[in-house]
Amino acid sequence: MSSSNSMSSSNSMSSSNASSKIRQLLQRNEIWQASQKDNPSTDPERAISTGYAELDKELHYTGWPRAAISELLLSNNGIGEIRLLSPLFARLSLQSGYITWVNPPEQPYAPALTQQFQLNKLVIVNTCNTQDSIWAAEQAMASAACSAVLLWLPDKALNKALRKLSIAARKGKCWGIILRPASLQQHPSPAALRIVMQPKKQHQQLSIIKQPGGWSGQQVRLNLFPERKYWTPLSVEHWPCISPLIRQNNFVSKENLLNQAKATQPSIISKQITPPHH
Amino acid sequence: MWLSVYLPLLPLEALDLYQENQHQLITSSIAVVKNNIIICVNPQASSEGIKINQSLTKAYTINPEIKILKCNQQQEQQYLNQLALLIYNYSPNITVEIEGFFLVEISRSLKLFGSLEQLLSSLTRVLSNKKITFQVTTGETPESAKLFSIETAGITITNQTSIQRMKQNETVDNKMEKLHYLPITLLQLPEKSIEQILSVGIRKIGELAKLPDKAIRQRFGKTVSLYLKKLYGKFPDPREYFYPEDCFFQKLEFIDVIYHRQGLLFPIKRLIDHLCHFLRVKQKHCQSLHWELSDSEKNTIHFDVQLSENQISLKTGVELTQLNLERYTLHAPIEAISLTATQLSELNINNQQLFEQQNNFIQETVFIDKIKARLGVKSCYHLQQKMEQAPELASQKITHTPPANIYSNKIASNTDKREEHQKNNAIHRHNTCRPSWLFKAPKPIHFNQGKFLWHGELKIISSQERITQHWWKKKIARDYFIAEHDNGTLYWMFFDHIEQHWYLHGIFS
Repeated sequence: MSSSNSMSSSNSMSSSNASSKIRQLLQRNEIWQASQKDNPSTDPERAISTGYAELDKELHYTGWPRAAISELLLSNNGIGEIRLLSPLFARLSLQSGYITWVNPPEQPYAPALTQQFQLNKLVIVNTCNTQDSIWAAEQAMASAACSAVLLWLPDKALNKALRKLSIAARKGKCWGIILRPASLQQHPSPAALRIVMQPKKQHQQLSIIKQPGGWSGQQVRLNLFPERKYWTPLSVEHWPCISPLIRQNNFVSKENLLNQAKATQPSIISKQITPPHH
Repeated sequence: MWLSVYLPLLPLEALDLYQENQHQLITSSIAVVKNNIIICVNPQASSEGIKINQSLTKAYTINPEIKILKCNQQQEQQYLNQLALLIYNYSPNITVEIEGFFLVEISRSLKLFGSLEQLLSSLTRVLSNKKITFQVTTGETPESAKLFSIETAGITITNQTSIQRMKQNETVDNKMEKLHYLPITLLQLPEKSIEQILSVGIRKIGELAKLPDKAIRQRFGKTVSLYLKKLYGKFPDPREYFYPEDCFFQKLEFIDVIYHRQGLLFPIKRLIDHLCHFLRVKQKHCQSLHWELSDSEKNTIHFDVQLSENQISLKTGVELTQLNLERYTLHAPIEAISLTATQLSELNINNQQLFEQQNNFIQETVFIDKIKARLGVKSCYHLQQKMEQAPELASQKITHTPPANIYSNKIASNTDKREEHQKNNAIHRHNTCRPSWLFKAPKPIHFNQGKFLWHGELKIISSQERITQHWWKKKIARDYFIAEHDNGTLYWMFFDHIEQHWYLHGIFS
């Protein structure tokens, strides 16, 4: 009698232990729960909308995951990656916290960026080598003072470093975004979300090769430069080219040319209309 | 009421080794000398019979293996100032005497601390944490407090061996009585006067005090009479009080040189700890720390540690200094390290929001400081737009950190807002279509048979935008176009009318 009693009590003990353990496991971010698949929560703790409805629809978290690393694999730099991320920055720049860019491939240009988000939140770090870039990004991510950290990395498999960075991002609860060449898409990566980005005629092709919360393999077509349709190409005959005459007899002085240019200058030649923003 | 803190081992403790090699101090005998006369000995040396005022040769005869150190008065003064800052918490009226005394007026601090016992226990605790040998006593006058502290320390300035031991924690009433029983030799008078007094057969202070003032003046001179009056509080004894200095400077000279960077950690920690305390007392904030390391080959390494945070803490200070130090190679062992902090600014503690949003990030710039410390000040910058027509001048790098405070926008007045709005509008009108990346220098491209060639072919896809300005500095006459590369990248390119050449200037990203 007494033994059965003790048995039942030990059973209840172990079951309560197990349930508490399960609860602990469920609290961890990396455990995917099928039950959550159909009710996509717009919890800002978990993800923030990308600003592109087509892309949000394909992401199980309906946005860029928080406290994790997202990886953008680019066929080459300058194919619209800043446009893709600018809605996220625009939203984060309204909150406290810095947006840090580590090792951008070229100099970021203030007049363009200021149209997309608040510049006083932007911190740019230039480094000499990859090791320093990773260190600086890790510091920024783990500081809990950065809302987003962007890191450009070279064509190298840096698995160990990426793991370090994802731990730092989890610690600082920030949006960590890594931009790497598309040639690395076959390499495994600890990043939570991986998107390959390729420019196609007039639009950008995004293929999601890994994402949290469910299956990957989705393809999204985005038009990141919608203002393109307002651009009218200037026909070849109007291009300001070097006249063969000038090249042969170099008698026209530069000042004269400048004056000519000023005289023929139309008041404002601008068919370029500021694009509507997301 | 006066409090006297006496540091009998000051010359020894002010030298850096005392704190780090505690063990060595107990086991081996050490003496500090000045002009070949011993001025301070550690307990081990004292037990061997080495005494103050002995000559160096005598000490060597007693113990040939005794470690002799030279006294460093600059460091002693620094050490006293540092401790004075600690005692400054208890009273604003402190007199620092180079012989190792702090005379503190505490009658007005008693109410704050509750009682004398509480004040004393708190002070004793603070001083014990510093691992120093000290003696705290109280007295009615500064001079009497000083005498009691010398007496209780058990070390007399002269070689008097038999001292009457007295109980501590006496009440103030019998303090004066106790003074009567102290030996004459304790008096802080020239040796000649003391000999004179002893020659008359007077052994105790009380016996001397009983004599009429006129007789004392006649027999032993004015100084003795004045001193005695000050001792018994019959004559005012004004003192010059300690005042914390305006800027921070501390130098540590090592007796054993330091070979490793890791070894520098302890002195760095100590100096920053002292600085933090100094800043707290002064209610100030410093923007940069200046470090100077000098090695045995007379080379000096100096560097500045920049801080953008409002408050410096021991942890961040040490971390940033270490990161800076990693950039230098130490060629020879380090002999001394000094820390200077000038240009202190008033500490203004901003009011923090009580109900912050839950998802907010902390407003801290420590990570920027860290990155700047390791990679150099220029590695980390912010961007600012400028109203310039020339594209390459419209973007400016700034290295100081603007506050990332979201509330700062709300505090701005209405007029500021209007101006800001107008400025923003102007800027937006100005920015028609600009690339996200701008090349450091425009890249020349070839134009051949109606084709633009640059790692592939470029096609113009937009109309032109003419920029002709800036004639007063540098002439600019350019036609800008947007061009699409074979690989899908959109470039910003221009035809320079002056150079008569095509260039790439940026990338739309």
